[in-house]
Amino acid sequence: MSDTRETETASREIDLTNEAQSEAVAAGHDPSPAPIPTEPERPAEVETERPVVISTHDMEVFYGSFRAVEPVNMDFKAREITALIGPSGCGKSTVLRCFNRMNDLIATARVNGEVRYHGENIYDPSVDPVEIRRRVGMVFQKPNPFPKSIYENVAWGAKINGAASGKAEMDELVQNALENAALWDEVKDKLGESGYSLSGGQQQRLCIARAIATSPDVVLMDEPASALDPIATLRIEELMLELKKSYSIIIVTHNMQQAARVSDKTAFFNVKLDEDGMRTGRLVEYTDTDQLFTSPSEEETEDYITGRFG
Amino acid sequence: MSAPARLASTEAPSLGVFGRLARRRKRRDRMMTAVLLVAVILALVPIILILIEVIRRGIGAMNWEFLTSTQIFSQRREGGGYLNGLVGTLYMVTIATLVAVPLGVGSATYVVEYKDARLVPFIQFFTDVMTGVPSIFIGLYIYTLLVQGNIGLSVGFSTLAGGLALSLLMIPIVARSSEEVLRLVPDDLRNAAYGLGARRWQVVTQIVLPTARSGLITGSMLAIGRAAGETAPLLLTALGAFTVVPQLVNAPQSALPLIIYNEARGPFEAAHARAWAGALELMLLVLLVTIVARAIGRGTEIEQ
Amino acid sequence: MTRPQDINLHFHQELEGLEQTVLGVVDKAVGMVEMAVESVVTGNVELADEVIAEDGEIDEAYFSVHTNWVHLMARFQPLGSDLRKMSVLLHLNTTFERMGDQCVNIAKITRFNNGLPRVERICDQVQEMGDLVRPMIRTAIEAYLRKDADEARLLPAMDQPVDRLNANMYKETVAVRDNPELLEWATKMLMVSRALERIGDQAVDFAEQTVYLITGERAEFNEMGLDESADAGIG
Repeated sequence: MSDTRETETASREIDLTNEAQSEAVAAGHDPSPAPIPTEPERPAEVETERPVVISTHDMEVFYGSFRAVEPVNMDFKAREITALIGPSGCGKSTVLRCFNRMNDLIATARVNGEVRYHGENIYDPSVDPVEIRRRVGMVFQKPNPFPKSIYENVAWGAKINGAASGKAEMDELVQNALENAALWDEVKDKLGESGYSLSGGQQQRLCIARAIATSPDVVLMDEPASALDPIATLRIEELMLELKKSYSIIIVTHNMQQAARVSDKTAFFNVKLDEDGMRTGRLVEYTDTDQLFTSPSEEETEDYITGRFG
Repeated sequence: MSAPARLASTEAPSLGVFGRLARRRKRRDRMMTAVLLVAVILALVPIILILIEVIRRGIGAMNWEFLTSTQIFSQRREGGGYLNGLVGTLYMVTIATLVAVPLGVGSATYVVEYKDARLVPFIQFFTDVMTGVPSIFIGLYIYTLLVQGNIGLSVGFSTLAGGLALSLLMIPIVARSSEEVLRLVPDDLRNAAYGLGARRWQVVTQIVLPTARSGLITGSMLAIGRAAGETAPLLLTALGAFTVVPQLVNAPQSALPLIIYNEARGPFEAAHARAWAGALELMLLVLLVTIVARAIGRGTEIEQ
Repeated sequence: MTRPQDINLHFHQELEGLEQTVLGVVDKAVGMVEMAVESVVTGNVELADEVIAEDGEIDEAYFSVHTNWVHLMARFQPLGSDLRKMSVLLHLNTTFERMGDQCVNIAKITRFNNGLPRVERICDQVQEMGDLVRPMIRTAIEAYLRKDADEARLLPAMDQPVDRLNANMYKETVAVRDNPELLEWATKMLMVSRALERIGDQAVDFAEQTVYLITGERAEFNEMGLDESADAGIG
């Protein structure tokens, strides 16, 4: 195509011949011949490197004879953040609690199917739930530090699992955990003070430090920021993105934008009401976060995220 | 979408309308406050009058001799003191506490932590029943069982029998109050502990009980205060004595409430005076226990 | 089963308003193309001035749409198809503002060429290009309104004759090189031709955006080979 240009007067439009360059103008970039910067690519080799840490196989949850969650099949990879979203009653918290057998604490709860941690079914009768909970940590919605000192809070979990043999080792473990939870600088001079002397956001980070002190490789978070103010929330989200480098994180959140901000993959659960008003949860769509929030494949997902929802 | 009706009035309502309504409500409010105040006064007055009376009548006979010497054999004569009773009360209450607190707290812990166990409703039911058992029955029961020795073991009228009778009285009180306190420990904390991979006994002993510590202590001390003032269970178990009794078994033991009961019953002025002093002494003992309980309770509260 | 209700009603209403404004701009742009082509082919300077005046309105609309768009994004953080629609509307806003500018370029050439002799062949070809381009825009509008991706995929084929006519224009210009006045006129008409070719591309771009909105797929129609085989591109 000919490239002759004439010195036109006044027109805002710069006459371009290259289709791509015109798109650059539309996108607001400088229309120079330089290559257009696209969204930073995630290095392809990381995808194949990351192994599956937790996988579910037709996992269902019953309360007594009532089925609360329909069969779920999901894979969670290492060093990846997965968000579980959906309306209330869709079973996302129930599903989360299956991954560290916390549902065992509810008398009528029963889990069918398999949940495999590094390939082993954690619901096998020979498996000790206590072992699972050490390796799959949990952070709860409302910050719940123990009524102990900050140091003791972090150390307790490690202590009962026999993690550190002496004071020096424990000191180091506590410091590492607090550093990884982005709390060390704020508390290093007051480790002996009560956990309750901290602000809400700090308490939650203390709970995160407590959870990672037992050296898990998966951390489950049940709406970890919903009881916090916006600034504290953002700090937790930033922390999650840092923690992703070492842990696989599964987070339940009712805040779609939060799920969009922090997660690599998102699972959308929906709720069904039967004639008696009982709620059953169902996994509708589970895919890359970017995909789910811009072009979901399921109409239910699309309805939920755009608010066209009954 | 229609705008919300009625509430959004753009004009300020005329003070006349508001005034009438507001004045009526204010009057009613003040009347309620007055009624409640009267109720409080009516409730407090008898207690305050009792306190004043006890102090007034007891302080006269309360002296160093009273506090440090034992009873004189003859009620008619002045002098002597209730030391034997004070020692006896302290001795038996200690035994009662050592039995009742572990059993009561233990039972409450079971009920709360193993709440789905089938035994739990039974335990709760029987604890309630025990709270209602008349204290004389408890005395009679221990008398039959241990003083007379119908199960083959006999300790006679003794400190142990009295202490055990008091413990039976205390157990349901400790159990009930401990249960309330343990329920107050947020499930959040238990969940966090289990989530870290703790076993049940670790959660209970290292998290739940320490958290509830001050409430458990308060509850126990209130039970202690109650037991210190009980007379009926001791009538058939401790029986009473005029000297300080160090033996645990096979020797009747004295107690402040017992002495007060005996001295007040008789016709003698001197005895009555001592009885008032004894009552004052007992009241001060219970007051001391209550103050200590509250101080401990305030010291380690859970912040929310 | 409960009927779905819109719990995001206010946003959807505002989004619809934004869409209406943008479609209004598109509509106006189609009209401007017709006027611009007529003005340059007939040498009608008053008509050219009208085109330039219309563009002023388009520029105003561009700014207001952009401002409203930014506010909507800040307030509502839309997702899914709402997000894609926002993206498409922003893109279309720019595209059609530029289409207006192309029409202005043509109108200015009318004024520049005022008084110069015309070559009928060239005028016919330019008119033909104008007549090809306007239905392209209207087809793209239809496809957008009816959410018809297949109809949108017709656009590249419709663009081919326009491209051919534009390529041919050079020859026509060279043919009159011996006459300086005609050459001057024809050189300017070459630029008109290019402007119309750009307008055609912008219509194809509109169709690409429509396909993205409907399916979530991005595609350069050229790369998909749709413009090579007009038959295979359909369905």
